[in-house]
Amino acid sequence: MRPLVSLERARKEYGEGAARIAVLRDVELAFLAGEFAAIVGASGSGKSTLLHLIGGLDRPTSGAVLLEGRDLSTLPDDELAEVRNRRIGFVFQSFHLIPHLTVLENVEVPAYYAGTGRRRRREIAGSLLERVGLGARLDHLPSMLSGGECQRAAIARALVNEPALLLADEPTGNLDTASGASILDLFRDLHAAGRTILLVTHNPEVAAAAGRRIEVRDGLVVADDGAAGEG
Amino acid sequence: MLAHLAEEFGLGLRNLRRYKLRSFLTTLGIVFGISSVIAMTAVGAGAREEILRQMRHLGVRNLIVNSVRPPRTQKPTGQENQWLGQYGLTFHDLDRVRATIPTVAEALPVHFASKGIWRGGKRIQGRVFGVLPEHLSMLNLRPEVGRALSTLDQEKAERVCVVRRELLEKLGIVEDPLGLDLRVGTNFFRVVGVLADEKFDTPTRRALAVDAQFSEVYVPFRTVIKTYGLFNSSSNAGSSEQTRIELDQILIQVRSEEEVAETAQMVATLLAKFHKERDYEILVPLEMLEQRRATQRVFSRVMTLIAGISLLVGGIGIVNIMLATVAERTREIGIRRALGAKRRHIVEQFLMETVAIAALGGAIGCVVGVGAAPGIGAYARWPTIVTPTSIVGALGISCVVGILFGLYPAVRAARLHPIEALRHE
Repeated sequence: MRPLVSLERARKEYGEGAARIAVLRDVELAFLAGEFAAIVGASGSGKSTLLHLIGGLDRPTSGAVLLEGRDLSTLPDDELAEVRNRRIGFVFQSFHLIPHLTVLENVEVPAYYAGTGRRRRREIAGSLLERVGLGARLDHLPSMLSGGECQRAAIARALVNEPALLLADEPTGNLDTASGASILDLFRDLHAAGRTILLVTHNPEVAAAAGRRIEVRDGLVVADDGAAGEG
Repeated sequence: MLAHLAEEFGLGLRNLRRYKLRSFLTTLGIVFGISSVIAMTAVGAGAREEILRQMRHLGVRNLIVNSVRPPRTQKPTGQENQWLGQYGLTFHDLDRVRATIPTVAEALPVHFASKGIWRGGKRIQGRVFGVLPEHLSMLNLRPEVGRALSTLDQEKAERVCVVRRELLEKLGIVEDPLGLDLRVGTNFFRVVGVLADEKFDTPTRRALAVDAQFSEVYVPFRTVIKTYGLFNSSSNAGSSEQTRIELDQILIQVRSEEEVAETAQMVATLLAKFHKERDYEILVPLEMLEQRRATQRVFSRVMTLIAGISLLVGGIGIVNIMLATVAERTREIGIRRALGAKRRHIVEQFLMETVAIAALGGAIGCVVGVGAAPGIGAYARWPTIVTPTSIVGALGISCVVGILFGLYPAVRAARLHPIEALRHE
């Protein structure tokens, strides 16, 4: 079975000359559709960079990142944007909602870039917000919501274009325990509904919720309890 | 695509509303620029219209020679209360012009008589123009009611007249004026034609010797000479004076526009030879028109310069504010890029926002310009005409300014790296 996404000797370096450092060192990783995996590691270990490469937000210095068989490292900028738009859903630690847009408008944004018509966009965004429990908050500005509610809106936004892969970078990092737990429940539900989820965390509880745990240290994968593609 | 741009434009307007003062200040340059554009075109259109009117009434092929009181008029001593003087153009002058200057197509004599015009107990000040039948048509004055003066009127020295509508109003005549006997001085003239009212500008009024203070009455030349003679008496502050002027005006039509300057020169030479004093003036409408065109051109240039500088300054203001906006919203740009916005989407977004600012400034500028145009016109002493085309054009210019000056900040925004933009605090 072909993996949904795989990294082949993916390497990422920053800086120039003597100051050049490798954040990821020739990482080999693969994920199957339907997996729920957690990438753990200390800050600076390279786990966020890994997520950025998989999500097409950044390109590897060398090596390849294959998503559904396409090498993201060689795609031109516009096509990479299209991949981010249609195949990836991002959830960030600090939610990254656009402050002057309402919750509904925030959720519509990816659909807008996908070229979906205004009415259809409203419909999809509205029903997704309903599903994450924000049906009564559509016209609120993000500043009027709690952290947990903001993250729910962000998850709805990540789902609006029906992506193949949901990427979350410390999704509970800015939340209190109760909100964090409920967000984690939401991810579990989504996984149960067949979503492929890849999240970065340093919270062991969150990592435990995932079916697979990958540990990154100094730019290398040091532990992987369920490497896909090996079987 | 168009729907998208419209949406971005709407979003841009919404962003403007978030920072009302800032947006307003940013639009000021555009407001000044666009209002200058509107005022400039309005003044230009008005001037063109005015020049056309002037050309119609003074005629580009005409020369107007007026009798003027010579600068040194000594009153004979001992006769302070009664002075009898003769000056101005003569019948001989007319004959000489007709006979010796080949480029003259026509030369018409005019004799004035200042008289009171009566209607019942009402009296208004009038000026009787003794003219040949060709006079009215040469100045493009056509009666709107009745007829013009005819050759027969002239030959028979008929007591008929053509008046302005305004005169009828001043005298309170509401009935059909045609056939009415109008008392002018001590004589009666039958009204045969009525001219429409005209609002002449100052140079035209002066050239034609018409004035708002008295009403014009056109009468056959022979009738005027026969009725009133060549003497004109007027009394002023206790002293009365008698003057003898043969012709108050000679109206010359030149064969072609190209020969106007040359003919004016010949007329000047001819008159100088036979007049000891400079008791006449030669007016060349063509020169007046050209002078006026030159004034208008200067005015247009100044306004264009003001408009250009304002738009430039306004545009730079927009660049400035948009660079600040881009810096402020770096994170938003990162978010949008992460969610799948292509570079061109970011360019569109910020471009539409600048266009929104510029269009808003343009709209305000149009209102200001339309409001200011009459004021500027009054200052420049000619009417202003605001055309719909100029408004559409001005709005177009403001949008172009928006796009032009918005491009750099928008492209800069689009060049940001998504991850760096996301990390921006």
